[in-house]
Amino acid sequence: MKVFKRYLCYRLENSALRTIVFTVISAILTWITVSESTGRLHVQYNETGIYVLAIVLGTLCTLIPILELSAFKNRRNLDTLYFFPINRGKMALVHYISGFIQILFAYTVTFIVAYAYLAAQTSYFALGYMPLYYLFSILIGFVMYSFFMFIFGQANTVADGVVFCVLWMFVIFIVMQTFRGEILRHFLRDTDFWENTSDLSGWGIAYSPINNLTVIFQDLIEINHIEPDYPYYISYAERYINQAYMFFVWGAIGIASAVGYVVAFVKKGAEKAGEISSSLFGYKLLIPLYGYSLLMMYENLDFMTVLIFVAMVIGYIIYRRSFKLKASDLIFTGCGALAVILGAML
Amino acid sequence: MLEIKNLTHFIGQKKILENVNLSLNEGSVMGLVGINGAGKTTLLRLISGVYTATEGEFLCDGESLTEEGARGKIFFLPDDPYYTIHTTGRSLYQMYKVFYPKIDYEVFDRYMTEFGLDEKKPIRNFSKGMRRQLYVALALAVRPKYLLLDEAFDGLDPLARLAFKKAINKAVEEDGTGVIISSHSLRELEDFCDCYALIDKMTVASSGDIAERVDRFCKFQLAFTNEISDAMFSALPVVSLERNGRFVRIVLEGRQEQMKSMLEALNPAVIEQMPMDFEEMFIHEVEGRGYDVGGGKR
Repeated sequence: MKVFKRYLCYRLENSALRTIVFTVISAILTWITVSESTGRLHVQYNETGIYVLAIVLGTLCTLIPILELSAFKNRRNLDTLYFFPINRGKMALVHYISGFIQILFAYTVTFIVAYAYLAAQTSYFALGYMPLYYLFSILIGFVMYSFFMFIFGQANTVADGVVFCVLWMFVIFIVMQTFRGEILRHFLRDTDFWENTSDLSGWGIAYSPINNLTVIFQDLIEINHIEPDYPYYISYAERYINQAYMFFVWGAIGIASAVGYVVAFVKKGAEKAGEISSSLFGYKLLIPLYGYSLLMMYENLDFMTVLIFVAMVIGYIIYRRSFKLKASDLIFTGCGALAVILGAML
Repeated sequence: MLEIKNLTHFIGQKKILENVNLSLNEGSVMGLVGINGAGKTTLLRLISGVYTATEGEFLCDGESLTEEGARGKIFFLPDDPYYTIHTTGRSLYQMYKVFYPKIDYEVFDRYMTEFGLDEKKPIRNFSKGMRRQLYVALALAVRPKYLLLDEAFDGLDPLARLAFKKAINKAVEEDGTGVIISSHSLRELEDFCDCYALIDKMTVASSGDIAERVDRFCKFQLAFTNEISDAMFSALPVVSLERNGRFVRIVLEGRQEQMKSMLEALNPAVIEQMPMDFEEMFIHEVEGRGYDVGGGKR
């Protein structure tokens, strides 16, 4: 058996306990949520509670990359892991596949629990859509997992990796919101495009594809909806169906992330482990993006503006792990301050 | 043969090694020496594939070390090897078995017993020396063709050092394992190694057979009846000179007989040849390169 297969089997065997724990927790959580939701049938609601599957998948796709790649953030570990006779690209793939199999296992068991419970309870639901939901959610799981593998892989320490993951969850949303609200607004305010894209920035949140997919399928599955605000509810599903092209945008992000993860894993030197995380996809980009977006959104020049600047400086202190900031950090913060002052004056 | 050709390596913008050329034969034990920060550990990490060299080539029996097959012939024992809170000797053995399927459990078990280690106990409770012994047991069970040991004697008590050296010697004699061992314990290296490489100023400053190298130096103690000055010795190939009144301790570079006759020409009342060891040779070597042996650079 080739080293790739042997290492993959070893990784899966080694993470079996973790996978079982995740599976059990997810299954219990799902059982409780689904039984709670369906328990209220005939009263006011007609819910499957399958949104819990989206929560489970989102959580797994965030946590597993952190657990799978944490060992590579420690130089002592790399002294051993990197001398093993396995090509760096193969090692990256083994960890990628092993992590995804763990998610697949935990999520599939959880899904079966939900499906079985719903199937046993009632005929109020169009459960024929469930397998389709499963297939699509797995594809979105691949996207989210690849995205967080890439983002966490950019950091040189576990703590920085967690910070990157948290910040990347919302940064696209914030940038899209700022771009639309503060720039496009001036040119397209009275157009149909402006109307049609009012909630497009919501797709920038890393969990939006699984959330929106679940909303669509909830609508399809919970066909005998009797809740009073049903029309409002269904309008959301229709909206997401109209914006379905965003699933493809996220698909492209997922593929790019998967390729980027492997390339970065191969190219990243062991020397960087434990060092300052100076990746372009890390603090370097995130601090100005968050800082400038919030400044542009806020517009006013008062205490809140000062607070945003202080947050930017704290961000740079965390990035550099020192109070001695680099000239580039001060320039980035200073440029923002200048822009805000000029904007306020104009 | 393990060969390093034209190796240059940068970490960030900083050049760590430049134009390093070195080779190690099978069954040979090379001591890698140098002052702190010279680049010994970096060199071992580069050979083992932990770091990717900026420039240069590594060959193992003619095959590039970028190939998995060639890498499988090497075992690197870092200064502070891998373990997690759950790692046991047994779990490490299983991990190594993934990459070295021919690892011999009997050998591993024999050395674990010899070192008095329990393979079922978590190694987080082991001392640094015990962890090192565990990894030595793994290394010997893997039977690599080339063994790279970083700060090999660090944390080992005298008995453990003896057992460690015995085990490595056995691998060298029985399997023809080639060993590169970095250490600051030069007296240990002298007993153990047949050749050395001195890393200084980012490159291999000198290398070769230890005994031959030590034989190139000779140390004498002299006593004179008349007043003497340093100028008297200026014509000699002096490596180091310590003068205390009419007593002199001198290290010369050259053949012993020739040096002795040159010193005798200075009419000392007493001339006594003293033994020279690898550590002294190293100290003189680095002194000659501008380092203050008390620490720092002159």
